[in-house]
Amino acid sequence: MSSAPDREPAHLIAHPPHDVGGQPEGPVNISDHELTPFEKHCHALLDVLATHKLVNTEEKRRGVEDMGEVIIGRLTYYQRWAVSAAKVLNEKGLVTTQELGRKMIDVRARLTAEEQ
Amino acid sequence: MISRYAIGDRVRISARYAPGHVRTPFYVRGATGHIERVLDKFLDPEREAYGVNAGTETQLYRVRLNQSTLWPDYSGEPADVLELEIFEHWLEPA
Repeated sequence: MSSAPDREPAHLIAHPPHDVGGQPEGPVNISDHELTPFEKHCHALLDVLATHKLVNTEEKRRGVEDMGEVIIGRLTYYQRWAVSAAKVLNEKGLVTTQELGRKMIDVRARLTAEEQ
Repeated sequence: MISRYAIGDRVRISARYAPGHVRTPFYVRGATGHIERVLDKFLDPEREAYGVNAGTETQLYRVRLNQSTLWPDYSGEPADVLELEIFEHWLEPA
């Protein structure tokens, strides 16, 4: 994936950053790993959201695409899903930024306590 | 089920570049090939991406393209093809 500053605005719009087919790039990393607990939770949550038509698969993909090239390049696959779901739920008024921000603090505190 | 195109019809994939969520890869836009098979109808992903979960059933086709028409420097077998699934509103008669 080429770096964002190299690309013209019109090109960034016409050729969305997730659509990398046919572009020059290095070898594809095909190494696999056991899903982490976060990844399993994330996958399960997005399945539930899709089943209930709250965040369908295309909305999830659209939310990822809308992050732009830099963020897509920096987040892992499931991190993108989590951020996308948060954005789509917020757009629909099902979750507010305030609720989500407070919950993130709670979760971080709980995980930190568990580690100690 | 009535579909606009039939197996074997020559088609061109539209060269459109509007913002939005689309399932037609950039590198095949403007390419010409033919209908390999007529698939089912599915909700239009371009509308689903913005929460429209009903009423947009759209015909999907499997389209076959020659690799050598996609890549000017293609060095594989001349008979190599790419097949991909394209919605009817991305196809034009060719």
